[in-house]
Amino acid sequence: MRKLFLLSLIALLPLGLIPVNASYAAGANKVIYHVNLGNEQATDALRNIQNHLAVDPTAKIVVVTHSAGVDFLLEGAEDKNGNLYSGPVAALAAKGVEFRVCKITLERRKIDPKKVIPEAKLVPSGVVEVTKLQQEGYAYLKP
Amino acid sequence: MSNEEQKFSDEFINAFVDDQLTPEEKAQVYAHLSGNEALNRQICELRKVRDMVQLAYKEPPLPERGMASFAAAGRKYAVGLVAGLALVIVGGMGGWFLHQPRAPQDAAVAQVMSNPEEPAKVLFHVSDGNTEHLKSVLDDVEDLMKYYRRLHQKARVEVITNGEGLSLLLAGISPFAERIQKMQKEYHGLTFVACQNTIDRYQEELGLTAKLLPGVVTIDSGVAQIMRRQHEGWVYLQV
Repeated sequence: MRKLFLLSLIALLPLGLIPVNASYAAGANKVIYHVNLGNEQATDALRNIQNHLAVDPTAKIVVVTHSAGVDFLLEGAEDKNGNLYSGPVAALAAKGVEFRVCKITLERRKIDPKKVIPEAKLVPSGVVEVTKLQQEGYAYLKP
Repeated sequence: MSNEEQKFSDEFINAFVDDQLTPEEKAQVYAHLSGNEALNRQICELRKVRDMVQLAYKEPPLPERGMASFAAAGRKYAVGLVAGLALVIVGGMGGWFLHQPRAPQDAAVAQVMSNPEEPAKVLFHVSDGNTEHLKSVLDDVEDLMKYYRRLHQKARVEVITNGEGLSLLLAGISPFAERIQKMQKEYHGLTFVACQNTIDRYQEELGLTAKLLPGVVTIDSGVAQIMRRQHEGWVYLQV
């Protein structure tokens, strides 16, 4: 009988009857990957995200970058093995992953916004972006 | 490895941390604590874990409670079946209705967030002591404070340092003492926080007595504070 109750509860989960699960489901697969340390961290992030999507292809993933974290999203950026970052970034972007670059960082480091690869989008501030997304229910991951 | 470390089993030390020993047994542990740094640290770590677990379970998991009450409600199979069916039907309807107003709900949330009377609450966690890195951390913090000021948005921002990050707030060591003082004066909602556990560890391991910059607040444990703040709805950034 216990089983029956469990089953009926499980049946209810996707219907949103149980509020705690409803809110969990709404935010469960929205995730921020925060990249601010540089290319080595970016390499980890890209690998993490590939694995993340392999397990949960419906996950909504936003990569927010600032400080040294913007480097891998610039034209011609290579990892330590000499491979261009733009390849894996474009592949993930095609799967719906968003890449966001902090404008304040570009200004501070005097980087021409035209150098940012087309898959990435500029946002006024990376830190503010992380803050806003968390308030919208995104989970926070730091690779 | 000293013999003293071997004297207490893990179970015994755990019981000590959980306050489950007799007064005599406790006295035994206390007697060894003063001369045994490894034991000291082991107990300190266990306490930290215990505190974190308690914090994590402060709000009891709701789904389990719901399940327990459902299970208690029906004793017979027939009752269970009817209840189950009814739940599916009500659930379906509930789900239908709950799904409709999603957009207005989100709009309401957005409104609360941008209410200037409701302060934004943001936590920066700093655990890396590299000078160049610390500079970019302060840049990030300052940019955020400026952003909120421009919007006339009230904000509380905490910069929590532990591990190597503590060097940001040490008098005579921090390369940014003046800048931090300026930022504290400029932004009243901004607090720099040092972890007492780290300060104690510096003392034990390096014999270094940490002298903090003026205005820096200490808390028991950086990790515990981060968990408390997240429970209170603060936004978290590890920088």
